[in-house]
Amino acid sequence: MKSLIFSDIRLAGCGRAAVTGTLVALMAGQPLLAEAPKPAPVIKTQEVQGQERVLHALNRLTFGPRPGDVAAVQAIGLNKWFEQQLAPASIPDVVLEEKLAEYPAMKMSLAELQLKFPGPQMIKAIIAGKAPMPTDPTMRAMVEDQKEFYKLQQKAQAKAAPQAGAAAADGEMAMTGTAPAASADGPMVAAIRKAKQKQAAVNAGMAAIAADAPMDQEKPIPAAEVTAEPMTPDQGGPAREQIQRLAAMAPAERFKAIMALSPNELQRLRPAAGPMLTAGFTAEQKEILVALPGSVRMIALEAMESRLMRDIYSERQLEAVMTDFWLNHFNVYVRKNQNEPYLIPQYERETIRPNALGNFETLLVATAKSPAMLEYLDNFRSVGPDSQQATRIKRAREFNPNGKIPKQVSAGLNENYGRELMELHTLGVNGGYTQADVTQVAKVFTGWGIDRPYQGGDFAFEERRHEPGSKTVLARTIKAGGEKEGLEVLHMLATSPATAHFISTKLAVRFVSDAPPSELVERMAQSFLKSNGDIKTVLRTMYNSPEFWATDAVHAKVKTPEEFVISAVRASGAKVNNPQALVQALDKLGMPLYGMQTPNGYSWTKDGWVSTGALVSRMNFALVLTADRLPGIRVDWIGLMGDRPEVVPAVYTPGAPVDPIAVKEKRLEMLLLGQPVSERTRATVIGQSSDASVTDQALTDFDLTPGNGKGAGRYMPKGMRAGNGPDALPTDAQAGVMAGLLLGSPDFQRR
Amino acid sequence: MNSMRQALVDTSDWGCDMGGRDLARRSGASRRGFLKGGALALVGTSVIPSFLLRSVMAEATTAAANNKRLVVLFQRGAADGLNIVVPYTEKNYYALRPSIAIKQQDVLDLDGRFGLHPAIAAFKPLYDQGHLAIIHAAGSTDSSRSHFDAQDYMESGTPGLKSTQDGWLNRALLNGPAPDGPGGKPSAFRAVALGTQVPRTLQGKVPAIAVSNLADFSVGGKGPQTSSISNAFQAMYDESSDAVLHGTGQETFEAVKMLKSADPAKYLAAAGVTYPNTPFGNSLKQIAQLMKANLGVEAAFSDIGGWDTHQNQGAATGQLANRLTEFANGIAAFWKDMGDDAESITLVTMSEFGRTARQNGTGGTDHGHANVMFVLGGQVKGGKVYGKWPGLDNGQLNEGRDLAVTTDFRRVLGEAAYKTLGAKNMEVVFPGARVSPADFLNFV
Repeated sequence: MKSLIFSDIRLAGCGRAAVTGTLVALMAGQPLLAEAPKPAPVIKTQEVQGQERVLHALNRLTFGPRPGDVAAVQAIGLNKWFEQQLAPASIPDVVLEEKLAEYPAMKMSLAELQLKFPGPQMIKAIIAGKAPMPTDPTMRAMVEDQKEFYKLQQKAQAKAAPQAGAAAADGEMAMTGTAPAASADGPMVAAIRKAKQKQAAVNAGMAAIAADAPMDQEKPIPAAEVTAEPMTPDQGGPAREQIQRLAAMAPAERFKAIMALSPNELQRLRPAAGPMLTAGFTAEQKEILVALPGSVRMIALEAMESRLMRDIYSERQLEAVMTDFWLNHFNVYVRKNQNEPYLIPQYERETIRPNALGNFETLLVATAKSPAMLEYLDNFRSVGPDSQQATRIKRAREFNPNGKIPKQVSAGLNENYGRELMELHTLGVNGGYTQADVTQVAKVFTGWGIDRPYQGGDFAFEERRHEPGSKTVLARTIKAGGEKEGLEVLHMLATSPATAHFISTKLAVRFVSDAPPSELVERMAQSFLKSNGDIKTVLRTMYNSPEFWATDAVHAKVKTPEEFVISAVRASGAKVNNPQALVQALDKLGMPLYGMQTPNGYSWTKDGWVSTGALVSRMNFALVLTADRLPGIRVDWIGLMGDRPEVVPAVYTPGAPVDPIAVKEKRLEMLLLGQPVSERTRATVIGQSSDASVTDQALTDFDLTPGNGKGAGRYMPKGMRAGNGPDALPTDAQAGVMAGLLLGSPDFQRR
Repeated sequence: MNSMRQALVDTSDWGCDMGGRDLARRSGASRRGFLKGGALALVGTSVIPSFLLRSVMAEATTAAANNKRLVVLFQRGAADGLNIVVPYTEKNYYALRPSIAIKQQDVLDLDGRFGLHPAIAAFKPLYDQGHLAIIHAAGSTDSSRSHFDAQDYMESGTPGLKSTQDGWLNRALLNGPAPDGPGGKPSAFRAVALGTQVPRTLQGKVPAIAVSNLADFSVGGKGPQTSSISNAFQAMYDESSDAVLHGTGQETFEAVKMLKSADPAKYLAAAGVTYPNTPFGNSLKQIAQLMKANLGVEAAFSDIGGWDTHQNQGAATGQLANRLTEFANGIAAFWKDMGDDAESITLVTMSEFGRTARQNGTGGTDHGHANVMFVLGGQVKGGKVYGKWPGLDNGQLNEGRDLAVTTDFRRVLGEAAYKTLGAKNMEVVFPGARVSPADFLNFV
């Protein structure tokens, strides 16, 4: 009997309130008093209460609590806070807006983005003489530079084979363990470091770039190109002198001078350039500078960085979490081709986020019409077999069998979108559709395309590509009606009970547990159907369900790498000036943003993420973050804990009544996890606290420098935005080590 | 040491320690000294490095018993088998694929009937030397055209059955001769996947590990010794009551130690061997390093994506050709790199399904059915295209659109597992498949 009660209490979780709840239930539950070994009687689901309830809500509905968040939510009242989160527009987001001001390109329309940052298609046209060279000096510089890089890449391509052979050397470079840009590195140190990494960068970055001609729209972007900063082998004294001359100029004058440099000069300067070169520049000017060697890379990187900034800093956390959820549900892939990066900012900003807490059908239609999805799942090229376009091509072939039909002109059906729309976006794989339905749906969506693809055009319905006649989808006749057919099918799918069930299951897996109780899913699905797919209503149903608050649901979820990285940054109160290191970390942890190639998106369950290699990387990330060694990201333990530098580090004197180390550890636990950790974790953290030197070792293991294998090593620090700079604050290395252990502990891997 | 181990077991559940109010009781005067000793004892840095012994023993016993290793490569996204091993004597092949077919003059003829895509020229010598066998028109008994279902079925080895928890390769290891290293524990690298995740194929009772970059596989320092911070993490994970993280943690630290000791990075690629500088190429290079370092690898897995060629897949050159070059050059480099050791290796390739026999309207192919599998190995009776060819006439196509399946993929994997890993009970490896040795194609 005793053991039964004991195990019940343990299951009930950690809080006093929960334990009390169990005891009350025990007293009320007569059958429990019987000695019989029969299964425990049905006790109404035990819910977490009090502060733990708030913590649980923050762990599930946000990207993790920041120091002070629990108290702030308690002050508002949990239920009120939740309702606020459901209405994101009502929540001011000042800090985030400031952060996002660094990314003006992310606010541009598709057309403006293509115009201001000409992509490969435009550069190609200019090279071929089919488009005029822009007269605006800034635009001109950008085009000239990208042209130059194109030539460089072609040259490198010719040498690609011997460079590929340097793969072994590449590995050795990684083993020598060049440290990533330390926060105190000045530009000179950075220059030396970069010089050392030169060869590795050439191998890892340039060879990869050279391997695929970047001017070909149809080719996927090599992974490296999205974020790798191209390097040139030529650098040294003269470059540094020139940089010093430039640095002495006023910002406006300096910008003009940089724009006036020839591409070759600029490339010579680039490796040695530091933040001082861009001091005083506007965000727009910095963006242009970053885009000089390649607009595509700048845009892709900003899409990832601004997404991270939002997840870390937005006060509208539920909106951010749901945006992340839908971006994964309606997955697109940044490396699909050279044009996809241009489409992603709009996709996040206009297609997904405004609908993240809205109506499912509206969201579904928005994705169906989004250039990002139309390109990703190939629908913009699909042509009805009996459409005007196909017929014209057929006739042309009959008339002149030897005549060449341009490769770009499609003449038939592509099933990709039709299938994934039903399998992944709505009904689910067992949703009761057949191959015939896939083909019919594909015909329905012929003509759903992009007006001037690759040139900033938006959705357009093209009648000439549309398959004429009526279609039969899921045993229902869809009358011929052009674009309306697609809307009818989307409506049918969005309101299907199979869809309600599929989406509810996925939400419950994201928010409750890997195997959510079927009663909960059913309740959510009913709510979905009754509200015509109102996402807020479904979330409210979930929030008001006992299963959401069940004590055995607390910490039931293992964090995905994305959740781990973001929650660690938030928990440690880190100030993020440049999230590029986090973009790299996610790559290394196997979950690059917009980096899932296949349309099913990333897994929400632990099976996908608990593995040996991933654990090693999580521990190392925790260590470098807390040691304040990630470029562009600053942690301040002294500031956070309110300690005076002169009492750091804490030291234990034998015989003293209070152990300051234990006190410090306790504070860090509450700060980072909001609740006590396991005794083993605590004992280990305290045991290690005297050994601050260990953090240095971690740096060589979470190496974000180039040439380090297939992970983050391909990236280069941008050097164009402010990094941590040499103005390092006094640090508490002891707190850093302790925090690193806590964030790398088993306790922090769950939410 | 045992009692100390037990004393350190954390019986609390997720920090259910009453908010630390009993901290004073738990932290006696000797706390720190005790813990330090405990951590050291747990980590065992001062005792015989049993992992060293184990890896040597593993090599000497388990692997040596068979002296064979199985490498499984998955082409994710459904590779277009008809353009990889081309049935160039089929008239209808050219009719079905007017602009993407590989022309007769471009294929590398194998047997007067089939020819290799020119981008996989690196396979030709392997085929000619008799190391490479080809099984055409192989595939699943399930008709799903969903990438995710079909991959899942192939990896679990139970088409149509979603409830299967483990992967076929894990069951094959479990069914093979029991490893008898010290303590009955096999090498941490017995089953290894290159990547950030353990794939479905390798999930199951036999511990499997995932490594994406050997050079990074270390916590808090790259020296020959594990760092003290690594030991600290190990203590946390060893004693964690979290079953999931505890298990993975143990495997992680075991592997970290073995790697530190064996230092596989010192095994450079053999002279003249060039791996493609891509994630796939690097994975194969690292599998070779793990094997050369005698870490007791019995089964290794890697994958390569980018085969879902719905549009503009190209013909002799283009998108598919680029992928194939990387694929074939990587495998050929691995084969050459392994040198004499290649004798003991069997390598199998697979993909979830093939693609439509007809090209689609956008210069690509949609999801189909049967595909081609490659088997490369020292014991393989290569130089032959195995399997029954179903034909490509319109009437012979599966559902009027795809190459029909004539060889259940489990007959191929089963034979490889049976003859390489010694997994003799096919009913365990592929439950319900009724694959028996009599069904083997005898390519090994």
